[in-house]
Amino acid sequence: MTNAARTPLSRSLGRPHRTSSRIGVGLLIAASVLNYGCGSNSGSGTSSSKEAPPAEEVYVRPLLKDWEPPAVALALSGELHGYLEPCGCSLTQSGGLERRGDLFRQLSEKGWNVVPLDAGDLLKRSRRQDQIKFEAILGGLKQLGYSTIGTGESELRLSADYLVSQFAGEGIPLAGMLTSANVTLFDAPDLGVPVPWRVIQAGDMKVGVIALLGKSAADEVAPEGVENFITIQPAVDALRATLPVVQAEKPDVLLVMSNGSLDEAQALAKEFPELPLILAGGGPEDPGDQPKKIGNTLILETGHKGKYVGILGYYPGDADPYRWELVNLDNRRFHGDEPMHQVMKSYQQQLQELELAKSPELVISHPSGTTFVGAKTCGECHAKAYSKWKGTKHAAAFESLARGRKGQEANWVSRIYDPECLCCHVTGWDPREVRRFDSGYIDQETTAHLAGQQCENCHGPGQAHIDLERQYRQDLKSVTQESLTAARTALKLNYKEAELKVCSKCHDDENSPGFKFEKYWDEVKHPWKD
Amino acid sequence: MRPTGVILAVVFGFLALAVTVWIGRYDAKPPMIAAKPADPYEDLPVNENGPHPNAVAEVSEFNFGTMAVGNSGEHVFTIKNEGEGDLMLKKGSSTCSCTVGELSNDSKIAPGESVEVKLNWKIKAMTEVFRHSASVLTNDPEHREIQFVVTGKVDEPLKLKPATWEVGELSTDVAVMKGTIFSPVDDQFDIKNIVMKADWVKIESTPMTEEELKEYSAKSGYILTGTISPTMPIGPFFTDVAVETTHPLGGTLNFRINGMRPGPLEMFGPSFRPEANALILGEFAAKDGKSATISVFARDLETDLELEGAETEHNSVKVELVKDERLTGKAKRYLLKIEIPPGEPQDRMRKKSEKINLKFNHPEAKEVRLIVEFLAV
Repeated sequence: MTNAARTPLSRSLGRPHRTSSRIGVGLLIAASVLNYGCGSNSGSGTSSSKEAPPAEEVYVRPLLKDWEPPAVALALSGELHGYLEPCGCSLTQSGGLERRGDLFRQLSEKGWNVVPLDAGDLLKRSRRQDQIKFEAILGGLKQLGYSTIGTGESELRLSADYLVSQFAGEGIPLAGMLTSANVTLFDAPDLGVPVPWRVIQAGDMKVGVIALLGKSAADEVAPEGVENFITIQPAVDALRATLPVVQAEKPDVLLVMSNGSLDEAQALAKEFPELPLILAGGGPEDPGDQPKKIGNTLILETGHKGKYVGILGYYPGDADPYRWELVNLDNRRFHGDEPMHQVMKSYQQQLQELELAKSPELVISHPSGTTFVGAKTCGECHAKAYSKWKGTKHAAAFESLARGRKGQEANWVSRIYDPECLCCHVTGWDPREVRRFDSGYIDQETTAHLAGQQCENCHGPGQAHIDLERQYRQDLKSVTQESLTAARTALKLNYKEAELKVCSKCHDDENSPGFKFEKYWDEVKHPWKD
Repeated sequence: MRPTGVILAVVFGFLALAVTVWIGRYDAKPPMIAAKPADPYEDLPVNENGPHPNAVAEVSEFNFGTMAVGNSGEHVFTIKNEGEGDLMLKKGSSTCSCTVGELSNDSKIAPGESVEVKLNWKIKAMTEVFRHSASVLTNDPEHREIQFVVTGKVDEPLKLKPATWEVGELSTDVAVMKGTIFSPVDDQFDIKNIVMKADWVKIESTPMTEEELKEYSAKSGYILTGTISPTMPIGPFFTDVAVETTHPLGGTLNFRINGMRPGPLEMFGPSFRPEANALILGEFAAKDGKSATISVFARDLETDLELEGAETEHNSVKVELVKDERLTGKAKRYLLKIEIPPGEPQDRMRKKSEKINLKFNHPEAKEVRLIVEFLAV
């Protein structure tokens, strides 16, 4: 039962009156109706339903059903876009390194000869947090057996200096991992960052890999007039030079990993019909189950955000030597993986040490020009609304980040220092841009009063409104009615605006797949005048 | 019973009910969660002895062409039972943003009859290639799952390209970078204002030529020319730019300019925290020791960088500087090797960390303080 709902009833019960059996009966009836009405909106029923959004029945295919052990299986992925965890924070979504680790464990149990390869574009942004995440992801992928990562747009945004320091040199753990045939850093191809191609020996099999960056991606990271020590050769020219070198190594399987648009990958297939396999980026987030075929070339797609890993089985001697399955890393077949869990833990510890919420890189000023005050201050006047809010999930949003949702507590890694999580669990951030407004939540030491999803995330920062109201109370003539009304109106939020502009900033497809505006609005609305 | 008692009971009862109704009017019922069967085909058994249905969807993929972000779509597919047994259907899986509406006939579909499958989708975010699917499960042994796919392209009314300006490294020269703002769908829009927050950036706009419009597949657009002066503090820099337009849907578009104004020496590397000039090596076995390499980049230095000395507070590390001969251009790279030799356990965490004063021959960076944290157990 919400606090707002309790208030009128407790008032009516608390009012002094003469005891009467008839009155008592009347109140009991009312109370039972009230309990029934409110109970439907709160308590464990609603709570559990929101912890596990009402998922539709999902048909899950058995993993690699009826597959004979291949001579070698390539486990292919790309365009992770920073999704170290499942796409969004909802557990009903697909992906995440832990589930990928569990997939590899299952493949290992089959005793297969597996070569994992990722086409790159591991990140979404190029901020300090992304560097930390990049190192965490690569560390995790290396533990999973990846030796080769393609070079995508997001990697190059991290800067040439940074990449060289991460991938080149004796004693550097990730040395030699980054691959691209047409990207050169510091005009020094001998640097080995990226390595132009690789031939990986896997048991008796040799897997040749060439990674390329398409023009569409190149234009984004190395535009004219910019000195960033990144040189990008046209992909076709690079492939023409590299292909014979790799072919001379006589690989059993030859794969080209294309970063860029899907059209560019398809153009490569037409230009080089001798290529058997292209892992193509730039396609849809959820690709089709079956690869396209251009001439004799299979165009393989694994989608975005690490939701899928494509398994390509190689069966030498068969009329059709390749078999493909796009494995959805769902929460039915794939579960935790301790080493990848430790990767997440270590990543969050680093974020804690770096105190990124304080970073000037993330700070923006609020367009209103005013500042956040916290729900408690709002509640000094808007008592009913405050009381209602305290009973909502919004009020506990920070707690869920610190301790996990119901059922997750035991193995939960706190995310209270992760800006990408904070932005929807505290007050005063822009969730879409993952930026902190200059008066928004920083940490528990300095801004605990802004923890949780509070009033001002929907209504806007309240300092200007409060200043005017206080001034007005002190001196009625010091403030005009027009300015008072304008400040009040600026903080009003109606149904339509909430639906179109506000709630979906956090309740999006990824992080809140079970979100239904009408239902959730009912749970938080507080239309009373107070 | 006294009349006043009756009246009071009625009044209070009515008031309490009114309060109940007033408060409860916004409350929703909890969602019902149907128990999930372990086997999705549990209620779609195949009749082993026949006759079998034959679920045929002549068209299972629909391309909507191009849609804008925020728009919704709907398409109706048809499944016909061309077999001899009754066909039974139920909803299968669907990707985000795509739902199967109610099947027009939830009961058995007799041989020769058809059922409509309605797919709804909404374009919620910009993604150039849209593809979503939803499946229907059947009791047809040959087609246990039928997947329906919706594809198309998504476009924005107004585009910024690049979305973020990476201007790279600014040393002493002014950098000039070009970007674009254009509409692939509208014939005209104006730029009202370009708001720049930093004084080291200046951006001017010029309308695109016919050739440029063609290059970007645009109907209208502008070339944005940015001049960035190296007057910001040393280190990474960034600023936000807002382009205010008259476009009714695009409105104001924001982008960020990122870059780096290098100092005399830049240090990067695995486990290295540039914010604190700290190398975090963590815990390891003291008997094994540990080593790490930091990359040191030197710009505009005519001679080679030399490490002239390294003073340590606890004498726990060895330091060596080696030139990376592969970088021969304007930027020179050196590998600073930090080694904790095998030996006794030591706690060099936090306040007890090793502090090294690195002494270089660089006129602008004669001394660099490096912190090394580790726990040798």
